[in-house]
Amino acid sequence: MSGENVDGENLKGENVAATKDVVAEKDEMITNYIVLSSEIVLANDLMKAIMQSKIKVVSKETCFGIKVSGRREDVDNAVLLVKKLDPIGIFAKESGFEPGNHPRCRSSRYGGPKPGFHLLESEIRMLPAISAALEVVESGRYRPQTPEAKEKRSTAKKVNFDEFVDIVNETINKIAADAKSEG
Amino acid sequence: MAKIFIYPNNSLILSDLVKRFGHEPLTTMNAVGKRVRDSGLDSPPINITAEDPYKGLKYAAIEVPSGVRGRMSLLDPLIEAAEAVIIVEDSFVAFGCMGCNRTNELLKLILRSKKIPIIEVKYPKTDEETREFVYNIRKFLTELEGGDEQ
Repeated sequence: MSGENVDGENLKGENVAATKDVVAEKDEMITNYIVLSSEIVLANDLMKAIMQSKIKVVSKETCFGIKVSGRREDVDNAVLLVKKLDPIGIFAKESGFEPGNHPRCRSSRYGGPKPGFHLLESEIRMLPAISAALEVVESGRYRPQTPEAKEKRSTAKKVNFDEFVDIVNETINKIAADAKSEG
Repeated sequence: MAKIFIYPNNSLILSDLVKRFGHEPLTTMNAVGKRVRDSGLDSPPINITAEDPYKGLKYAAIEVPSGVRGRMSLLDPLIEAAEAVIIVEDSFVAFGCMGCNRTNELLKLILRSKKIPIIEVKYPKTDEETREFVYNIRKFLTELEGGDEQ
């Protein structure tokens, strides 16, 4: 089947020559969750960025970020665009259901968590640590621990309670003494 | 760009890390989304039929509960397309839409028996474990053919 060639440029600046056969996957309608774990970006900022870019997607704000729905190529471009706002604080995954989809929409199901909510909630709690780890690993500062160091870490003894109380008292006395000598 | 099967199938962290390092994650949402968007005569969930547990016979015998066979038939296209696997153990929420544990164990067995690159890590509980987790997954993904950071 011959196709029409439609040249265009996507947000990465790549030339995209589309034919009716090739665009089949790009035209597939998908939905992505964009989850925020950022100290500098709010969900409102994501919505503004997407609306100002005029990418043809439907976006909906949620309690953890936004949900973006549209053609696969448009949604991928929207995700790339918003990730530039905070590369290590914004995470995305595909969702099988568009916003308001009847079998999943909580307003039509009279409340209750959506299927998949519990894993999402627990992973969102891990995201600050993942962001910090991404920053360290991608900057090249991370050095993997040797097996001996790992062994020492795993067999480290727990501190005895009386020892712990002594350490706390010692630290408090030291802080008080330092404050007194400065004051 | 390789197609990476992730376990847990609907993990946000794994899905994002795989995409971030230049590959395509294979998730339950891909399979479910196709069913939801199916423009056939029957709309979801009616398009889940008795044919699906039959398709699951490829993986499990007839006496295995139909729920296991039905889930395996849903994940069959993803298993076939997988070029590498990331498995994260100690998933404390492996219930609900993750399906029953029998499906999960069967899935892991099938993936391990495929002759494709595989990495198995645990969910991190401390900062040091998290750094090690991200480092190991990044190393695995960037060493695969076509891996690149986005």
